[in-house]
This record gives sequence, structure tokens and C-alpha cells, in this order.
Amino acid sequence: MPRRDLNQMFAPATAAAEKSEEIASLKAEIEALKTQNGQGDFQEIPVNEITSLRLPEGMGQPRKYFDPVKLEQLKDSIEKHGVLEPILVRPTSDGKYETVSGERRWRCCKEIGKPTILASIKPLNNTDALEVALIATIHSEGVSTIEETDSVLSLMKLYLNIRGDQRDKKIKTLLESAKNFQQTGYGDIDQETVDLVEATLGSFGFKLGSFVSNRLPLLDMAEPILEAVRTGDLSPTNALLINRIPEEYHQDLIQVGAGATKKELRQRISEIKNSSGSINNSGIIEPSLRDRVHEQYRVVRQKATWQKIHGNPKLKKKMERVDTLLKEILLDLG
Amino acid sequence: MQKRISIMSNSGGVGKTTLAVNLAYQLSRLGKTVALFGCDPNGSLTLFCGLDDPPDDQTLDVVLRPDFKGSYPLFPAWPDRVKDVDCCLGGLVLSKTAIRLVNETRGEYLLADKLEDYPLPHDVLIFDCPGTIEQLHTIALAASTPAILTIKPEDKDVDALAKLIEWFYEKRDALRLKPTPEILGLVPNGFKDRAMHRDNLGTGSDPKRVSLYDIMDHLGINVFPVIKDQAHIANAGANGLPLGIFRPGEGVNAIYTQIAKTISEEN
Repeated sequence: MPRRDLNQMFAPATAAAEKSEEIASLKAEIEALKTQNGQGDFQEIPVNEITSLRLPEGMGQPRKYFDPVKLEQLKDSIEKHGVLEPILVRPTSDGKYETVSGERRWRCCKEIGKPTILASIKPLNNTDALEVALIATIHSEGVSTIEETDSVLSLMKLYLNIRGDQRDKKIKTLLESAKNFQQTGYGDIDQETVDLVEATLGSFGFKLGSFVSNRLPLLDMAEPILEAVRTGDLSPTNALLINRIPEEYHQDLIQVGAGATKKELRQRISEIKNSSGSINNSGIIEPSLRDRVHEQYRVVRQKATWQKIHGNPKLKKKMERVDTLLKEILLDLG
Repeated sequence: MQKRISIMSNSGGVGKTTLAVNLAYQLSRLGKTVALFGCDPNGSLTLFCGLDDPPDDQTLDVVLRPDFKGSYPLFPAWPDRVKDVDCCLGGLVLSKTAIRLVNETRGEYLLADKLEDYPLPHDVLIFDCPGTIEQLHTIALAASTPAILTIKPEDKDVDALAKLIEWFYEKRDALRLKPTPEILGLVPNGFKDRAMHRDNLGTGSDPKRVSLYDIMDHLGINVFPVIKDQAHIANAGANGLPLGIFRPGEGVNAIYTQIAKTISEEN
């Protein structure tokens, strides 16, 4: 057997070093934006000349959900102190700008009617813009585990150039193969890809094995729910709540859940659970037979009701029929 | 700013403790005060500093306890020859420490936290790590500014080094350390003039063969001059002395001086 080549020995180390370096420099750039206020290469640009980042279909998107409560808080802060961190934008061919990092700050300024916002303008191609936006999302405060997982996966799709309709499925399959390869040394995947995957995960503090077992299942939500999270209609916490409910209620609950607080949604869900009934065509939830019988009997056996029944021969007769029917049912059951 | 150097390798007997004591000695000659930390359960630092095995409650273990309040168990090294080299010793008790740290709140950052809460006055701290990656490496990494790696140019050690470097980059990101520790350099140790060592150091018969220098160059890691295997180095250690005291005339001392200067000039 020939001696192992040094390049081969160091491939994972090299991948880890490069990924660490690359992400470190991007983090540093984002950090620099946060710490410099007003100094350096920044410009005040008109708020209405900015739009959200527009990327071609199929490339994936950075964060989309913005917590309305947090938006309000940020608005208050901006009204009091102004925007403390400049945002990062890229110029577009139509002479406008797209947000790469700082979409929340920009939205708030727009809503309170600030004319301009301090920004760093950087020409970035689609891939670089998405990469920066994703890394900023992963490192932003208060990012949910779903968003974080989703962003890490998007970043990986970007690095591995996975595109097309089946990209979500492809990246999951690839990560699972990578995990198997790491554990067994076999699989339909090459070492280089596994190294890149591990290095990317590693630079955000994830281990391949635990990411696959603990994080990937988070995205195993019904497609409409996940889609609603990605478009920003549904908060990740509400999505998780809805996902626990049988699929037939999903559409209904996505609509309820959009814009509803967690508490409101919970209430709605517990209504469904208590009834454990079904939804008829009009979308109104009907209680199940068991619940109906139970509820009616509860009323019947109340002392006051029972006295009325007892004092009314017609009702008493009907009640005797109920008694007979229940006896029959129990007999049938054996 | 205080410099905190981790000396790491992923195989035993490749000169970590030798490097640690010699750097401490050379740094003290440059006018720096140094505290050596023995993070290895084998307690080799104790031997190399000519000290006696300390009782468990006089080791690094006490520093890594939540109730530690800043009285570091420090022993002066070679007090009749140098000032200001102190040792916080390791020993077998550290094998239990490592297990305990797993369940400790901020276990990985415990050393870093203690050094922040109860700062030592020394200019340079040197952490002499164990011979294989384990929990004690992680706590040393979390506390260190840069790291120095040592290696013997054997294939098996080179392969282990590759894994150490991979671990280093992944771990430092996972720990989210600020400032991010870098690898200050690699010290090839125990070089013997034979084919395998020559190949790995790029002086072999096949000029196209990839050497450690090519790899380190690619990784942007500095390689210090090669230290040849020689009996004096081992004898100095066995006598509990740095080579600079044991054999001041040896040429190798110049390499230790050079590394010490790199440390003291490093920002």
C-alpha cells in the first residue's frame, strides 16, 4: 500500500481553515457595519429608492419573517435615536438599491416616513449578496432555529451549487449521505463534498451528525406551512404549532396563524382539539359525536334539568327510550 | 496585553513540554514574566521543571473549580537561575478534572473565565496541552490568544496534525472566541535524517512530493526552523532544566529564542 499523500491527509483541515477564514471575514464585515456609526464609507440614501433583495427564482431567499412586535420596538428606537447601525445595500441596474443586510431597519424607516437612511453601498452579484444576507441572518439576534437551519441549508445549496425544483430534497439527501459517509466511510458522495459540508456547519458551531438528527427534522414540516414561513406570512413558532395538528386543518390554521399571536393561535388550536371534530365544507368546525353526546348528557343529568324531565311524562318516556337504547348498545358490545 | 499561548499536538512525545519550558526560559531572558500551565495528566511539566509532584489541591485542578477565588498554586521554576517563571502544575488528577468539566456551566470557558476574573500579572502564559485532543485542549483553546503546534515529521504524526488543525478551526468557530485565536506556527521536532522525515520536510528524493511546507503554506501557517533530534534535549528535560541552562552553547537554543521573540513581538 502506498504512503498516503499529504494533500489527502490535510483536505479536511484545509476545508475547515478556508471556510473559517471566509466566514470570519464576512462576519467581520457585518460587524464593522454594526460598530461604525456614520464614520467610514457610508451615505445617506433615500428610503424610497430601496427595495428588498430581489434574487432569481430558485436561488433561495434570505430571512423573510419579521416579528411585528419587534418591528414596533425597532420603530420606537429609530424614532428616538435614529438608525444606529448603517444598512448594507447593493446598487441595481435601474439606479436603485436592494437591502442585503438591514431589511428590518429599512422597513421601519419606511413606515415612520424617514426620508433617508445611512447605508454602505457595495456592488454584489446575486451569489455574494445571498451569501452575505444568509450569514447576517444566521448571526442576527433572535433568529429562530427554523430560520437558522433554513439559512444554513440555503448557504450550503449556494456553496454546492444545488439548484432547481428539487433543491430542498437534494440538500437533505446530500446531508444524510454525508453523515453516513462520515460514520461508515461509504456512500454515494465524495470526501471533498463531505469536507465542505462539515466545514460550513463547523463554522457556525454545528456538527454534521447532530445537525442531521436535530436540525433537519425541523424542516420536515408540511410544505404549505414551510412555504408560509419562507414568504414571511407565518412566524416560525406558529408554524411549529400548526405542524402538530392533523394535515386537514393546515390551510385553515395557516390563515388564522398569519398575523395572529401565538396565544391566539393556541386558543384556536385548543378549540379544535377539544372538539376533535371535523371541518365541514363551510369551514366551520363541528364537534364529534362523542363530544355531542357527552355535552348533551352533561346538561341532562344536571339536577334542575333532571327534575324537569322527571316531572314531565312525555320527557320521562323519551328518557326511558334513551335508557333502552344505551342498554342495547352495551349489549351489542357484549 | 497578556499573551496566552497554547502548545498543542495530537500525538505524544513530539516536544510540547520541551518547547514549553524552553520558551519560558528564553522569554524570561527577554525580560518577560511567564506562567507555565501543565494541562497534561501525565504531569510532564513537573519533571521538566525539576519540581516534585504536587498534592492534588496544589494543581491546575483547583483553578478549574467553580469555587476558585484566585489563589493560583504557583511554583517557581529554576529559581536559582531565573526570576519570574512560575508553574501551575498538572498531574493525574486532571483526568478527573476533564470529566468534571463536561458537566460544568461554561466548562469549556472555565480557564478563560478564571483568568479574566482573577488575572495573573505575568506577561506570557503558556499552556502545555496533553498529547491527544481532549477536553483540556478545548479549555486551553478557549483561554488562549494564539496556539503553537509541534510535530515530529513521521507520517502518523503528520496525519494526526491534519486532524488537530481541522479540530482547531472548527472548535474556535464553535466557541465563538473573541479575539479569534490563530496558529502562530508549527515547530517540527525530533527530526532524524531518514527518508520519511526528509520526504515530509520537502528534502526527499522526489522533488514533486507534497511536503509539510507546501501544506502549511497553503494554510497560511508559519513553520519555525526544524529542531533535530538530539540527546541533549532529552537529557535536559530529564534533569529538570531548559536546554539553555543545561547546555547554553547548543545551536538549538537560537531556535527557541527566535520563537520566544515571535511570541513577544506578536500583537
